[in-house]
Amino acid sequence: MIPILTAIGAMAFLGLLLSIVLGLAAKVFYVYVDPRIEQICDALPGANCGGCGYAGCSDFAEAIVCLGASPDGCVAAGASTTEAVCSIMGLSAGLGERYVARIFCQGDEQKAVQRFDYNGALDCAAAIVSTGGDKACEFGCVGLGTCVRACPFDAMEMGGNRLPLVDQNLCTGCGNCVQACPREIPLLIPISQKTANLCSSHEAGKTVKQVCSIGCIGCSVCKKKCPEGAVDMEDKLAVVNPAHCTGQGVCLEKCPTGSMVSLQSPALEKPEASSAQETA
Amino acid sequence: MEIRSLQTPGSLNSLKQESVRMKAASFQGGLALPVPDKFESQAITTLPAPDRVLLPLLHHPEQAYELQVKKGALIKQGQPVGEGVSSLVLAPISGKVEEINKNFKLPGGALTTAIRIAASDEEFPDEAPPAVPDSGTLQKILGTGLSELSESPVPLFEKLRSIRSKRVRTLIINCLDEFFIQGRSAALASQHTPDLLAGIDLLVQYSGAESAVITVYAESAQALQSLQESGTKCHILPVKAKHPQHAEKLLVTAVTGREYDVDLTPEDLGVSVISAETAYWVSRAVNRREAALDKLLTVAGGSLKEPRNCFVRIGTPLQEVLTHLGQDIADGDKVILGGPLSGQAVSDPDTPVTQQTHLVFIQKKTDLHVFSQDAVCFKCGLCVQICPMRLMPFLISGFSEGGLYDLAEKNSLFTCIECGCCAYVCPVNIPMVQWIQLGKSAIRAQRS
Ligand code: SF4
Ligand code: SF4
Ligand code: SF4
Repeated sequence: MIPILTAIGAMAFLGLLLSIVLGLAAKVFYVYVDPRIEQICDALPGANCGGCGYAGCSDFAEAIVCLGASPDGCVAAGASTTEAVCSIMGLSAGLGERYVARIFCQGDEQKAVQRFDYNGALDCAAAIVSTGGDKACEFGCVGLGTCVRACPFDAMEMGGNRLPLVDQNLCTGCGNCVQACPREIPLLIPISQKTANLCSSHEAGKTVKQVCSIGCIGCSVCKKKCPEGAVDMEDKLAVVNPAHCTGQGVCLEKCPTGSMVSLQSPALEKPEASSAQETA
Repeated sequence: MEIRSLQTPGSLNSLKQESVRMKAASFQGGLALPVPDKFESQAITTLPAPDRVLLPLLHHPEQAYELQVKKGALIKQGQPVGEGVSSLVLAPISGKVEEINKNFKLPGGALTTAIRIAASDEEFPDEAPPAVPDSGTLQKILGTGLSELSESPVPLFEKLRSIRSKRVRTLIINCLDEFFIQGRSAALASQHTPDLLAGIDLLVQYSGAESAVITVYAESAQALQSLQESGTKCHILPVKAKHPQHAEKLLVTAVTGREYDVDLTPEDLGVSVISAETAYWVSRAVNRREAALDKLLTVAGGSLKEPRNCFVRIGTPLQEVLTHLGQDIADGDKVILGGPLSGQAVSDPDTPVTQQTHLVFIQKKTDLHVFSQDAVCFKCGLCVQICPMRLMPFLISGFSEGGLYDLAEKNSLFTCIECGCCAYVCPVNIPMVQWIQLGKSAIRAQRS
């Protein structure tokens, strides 16, 4: 009987001793963790996409609380999440404008001149390195879908005409496609922007005409005719300033190639072509 | 092209020479070249000079050329139109400078200045300089506008200088061609033997080397025979017909029997590789004062039964060469500069012949190698076995594909010579060389 009692006694003593040590350690080495970090972490989507510029959602939550990062930095979340984060932080939600990706090239299989049949790695950067891409335009979309595969939110797909499509509802503006593209074709613009010149070519008009029927030839008629002065010419390419554009559409009528496009019609970025292709 | 079915080494037993019976020199890995059972190198033909030439001014990556002519100027054949520090670009035909294009795109994608010259009947000013200067050997070599192209293009003048300063003992004369044993260098060795040997003698003399080794494919019976019958003092070394035996690194390995560190140059081992064509042009320049205005090239594939070798004026559009040889390019055929395994496909039929155009290969639509776009490596190891540089191609290409460029570099990405053996043997057709090229260019872009 005695050995059992000794064992029980020893264990009880040991337990008591260790709990005292742990209790003291908790007091001595106490680190304050702001409970808001965990709350914000729960409110964030948890996709860890990195679109905010931090290593992941928890890193961003810590940055909001400790470093004073802007609570609307999460690109993946909708307005409700930002509001939730703001209320945790006790701030009023001054919501920033939502940015989405648009494809600044309309040179599809019919409109862009194709130099050869490409046969090789399915990667836009690799195609440019080895062959320069099969489309003759040196600024346009290569059309092998590297951006589509880089999108963490499934907001992109390759259209049947070898141009990527962006679903404006799913796009969070995380910018992964912009990073992945070797040619700066997807660009982030405010969702409210009404007009855009969907071309990226800085070539002279003559060259553009040779390689694409819908490219910007740099004639600057849009700049001259815009009543709001919202169009600038940047190295032979017309660029619309969203802050000034009111969407009157004068440039759309004047543009000789159709490069200038209204973004107001919801059909634009998800045209019938893609759904037709899905069913086909 | 059914290369696999042609892999049986061909006509070794038809050769009588002693030296051929000994085991031909070679290297580890690589791909057996197609050796037809019976063949005769066709006579080298000279194509007529074209009416228009296009002359890109970038033959050497490190040497920018200074333009010597203006638009509309009348120039005489052989007159320098571009001048580098130690080399010249010569006008291939007499005529008028029609256009100077500052943004000419070479097949590899690099931009350069290109001059278009149209032949014209107008009178030429008399003071135009003669083709090759009369003074010493060195001047003559400089005046040929030749560059040595056995690996990376260096002006011949520079190459000879470095051979001298590094006290190279043996010159290796490269009579091997990319991919076809009936190619241009073998034809040169069998049909222009005296000129070739005279050129080798001059090179040995000028470079201060002690001896020269002429490397020939053991299967090129005619070339071997002509060389041996000529009674030359040079050592003739038959090597196994394998791709990429013509590459400098592997040729030096085959000749010296030594695999050497990638950081060393052949000159560090006391040898230096010079192509047979260079030797030929040196002899013509020094002995006959003729400049290297033509380029010896091989045209193969397509509807040609046997590879054809011809002298083509530099700057001739490819289309003209092919038309002259009766070659049609059908829709979907591929025109490749430099052979089916490691060449560069071109899409523009007006691409001009340059000093770097050695082989024009036409791959029929039906023979195209179709790369897979979604295949995954299943680690069969075939590429590792065949890689002549002893790399692990699946690893470096996989790292490059995944964007892990530093890991690719740690696994010797830059040692790869892009010979294309790995992509050829890969059973799931992964475009390995393309991924490797992507990795290299991404790292170079990061550095610059
Ligand atoms: S937008 Fe860029 S990444 Fe996307 S398919 Fe076009 S070239 Fe490729
Ligand atoms: S890794 Fe490079 S050197 Fe090796 S087989 Fe492939 S292409 Fe040739
Ligand atoms: S040959 Fe192709 S499948 Fe086999 S290990 Fe190499 S890359 Fe992988």
